[in-house]
Amino acid sequence: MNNLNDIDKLFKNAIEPLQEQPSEQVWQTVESALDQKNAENYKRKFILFKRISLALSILLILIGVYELTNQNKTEKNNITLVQPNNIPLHQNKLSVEKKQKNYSTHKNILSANKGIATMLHNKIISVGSHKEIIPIKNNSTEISSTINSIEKNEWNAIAEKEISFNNTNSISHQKLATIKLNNYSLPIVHQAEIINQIIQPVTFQINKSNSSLIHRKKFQPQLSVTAFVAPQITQYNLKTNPAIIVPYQTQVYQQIEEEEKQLPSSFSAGLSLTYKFTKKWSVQTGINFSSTVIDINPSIIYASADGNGAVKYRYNVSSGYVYVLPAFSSNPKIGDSLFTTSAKHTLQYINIPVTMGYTFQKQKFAITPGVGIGFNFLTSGLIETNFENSSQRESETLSNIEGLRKSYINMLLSVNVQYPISNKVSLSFTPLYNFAINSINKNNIVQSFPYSFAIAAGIMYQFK
Amino acid sequence: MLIKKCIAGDRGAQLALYNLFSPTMLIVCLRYANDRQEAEDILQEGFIKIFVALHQYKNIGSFEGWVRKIMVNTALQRIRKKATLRPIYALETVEESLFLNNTAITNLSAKELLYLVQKLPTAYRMVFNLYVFEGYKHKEIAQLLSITEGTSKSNLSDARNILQKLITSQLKIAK
Repeated sequence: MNNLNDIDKLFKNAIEPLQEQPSEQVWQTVESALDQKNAENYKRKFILFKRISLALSILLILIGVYELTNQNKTEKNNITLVQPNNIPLHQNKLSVEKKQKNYSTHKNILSANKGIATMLHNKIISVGSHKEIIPIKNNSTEISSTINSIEKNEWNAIAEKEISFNNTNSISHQKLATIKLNNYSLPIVHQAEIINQIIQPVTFQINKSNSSLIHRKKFQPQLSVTAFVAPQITQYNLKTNPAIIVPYQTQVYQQIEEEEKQLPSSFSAGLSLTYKFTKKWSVQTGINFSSTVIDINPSIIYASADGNGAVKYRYNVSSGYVYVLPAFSSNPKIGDSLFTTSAKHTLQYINIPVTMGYTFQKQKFAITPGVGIGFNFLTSGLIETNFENSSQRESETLSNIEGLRKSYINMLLSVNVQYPISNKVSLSFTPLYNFAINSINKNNIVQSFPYSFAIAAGIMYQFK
Repeated sequence: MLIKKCIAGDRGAQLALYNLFSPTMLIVCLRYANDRQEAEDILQEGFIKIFVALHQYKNIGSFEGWVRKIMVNTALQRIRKKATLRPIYALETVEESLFLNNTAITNLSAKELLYLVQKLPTAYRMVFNLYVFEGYKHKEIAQLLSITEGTSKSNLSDARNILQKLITSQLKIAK
């Protein structure tokens, strides 16, 4: 034995002081690899900013396109006609707001869900299919008499009627007002009177003051809540952790990648709160619960020393690792192996997103592209599997996953589409894409970056 | 100071660090490798890891020790890719216990001894290197190589026997 120890010492003493210059090729390869790494680091560092820039660019392009295509409509859409205070209209109010408000004039006589009365810079007066070109003066007598001459039946037959007039003496040619009238239900006998009443205050208003006629509608901030459920497709970007250098790192990485390549099934559900602080801009937050189930193929696991010096079997998965000791294998030695059957790995998180959205209206649909970040807090991580050797088998549910962070942050890109079914309730659909900014692991051999595509469907309730 | 410059990406400092440690580390790699080409491959891979992970060096223990550890791990990782270490290699029974004294050893140059280490079967070479040069215990070697402690002890004993045999053969040739 003494002799053997001498061998150890003599080999060590002889070889340790040795030095030898490597060939030039070695440094050249190292240098070129470092250049490449620098480029990769640069790319990695700015990939987040690139993604945010891309999302914002898309948002801005959408806004730009919307603004350009709707430039001519904007002014028309925002006009509100009000009855001047000093002109009584048989105690009734005439108020028309953006194509959709109900109004009534002569009590119990005129009721209209929708309608249109247009003042244009021409000399046409028309009701339905009737159009007559007439000069219009300061009062509306001629208009009413003209309208009165229209056949009675047409009032009932025409679904949408237009009353167009122009007061060349008083209307600035830039000013345009719209009243939509639709689905009339009124006694014919009052036609002329009603039309007089509708038109009179309008013409007066225009004569009196342009500024009092046209008002920008003031936006009231709106708060709404949406309950939703979202099936999603989740995938993981898997990387080796450069901070952990162990001899079997590559093998573990390859094993996990091979065994977890099946698509995980997942869903999320929750509530989101939207605060619309301008007509178009809104901020959204909320809380939702997400659950991801990953199927893991059967594999072989090996015994190694855990952090406390005990020898247990180490089960490596993408989210971390678990040391396990089945009852039938109570005293394993380092390097011993066990088989695992297919495993079900479940990860559950509470997610709090914060997004900013820009809304544009397309007919009845409100479309809101949004971008934001989400904070994910781990609530549960479980692995259900069976361990077996040549003769025995044991079922285990493992919950003490190590190397798994308690939280991680992700970026969100979404396009919310709402369709109103009543004044306060809308249907909501949101395709959304999210990706992790940081890994879900901590001090683990591999790093996992989940990303998912989901379609959230829900119901939105708007508080007034 | 040199380390800080290296972390900052100063290529001159990185070259200086490389020049400082590469001659010693090449010997470390040669002990684990089958030949010089493989040793240089390990060396370059190890230095890339060192420069990438340099910011993680915590000033605990000697810097050379940290560099050596990365180099050894790189060697083990590379060798594991090539061959499994779990099966125990069959060893020819060493029938006679060869007498070896210090004088005999010193008759062989250090480089010849290094050559003998390289000639060891891979599994034995790993255990011999980790035990004799890196100072690992059998328990640690077992964990590093995913073998049992018993296998580690057995491999070390076999490695010593083979080296004795090889030294004797070399001396006979020299005579």
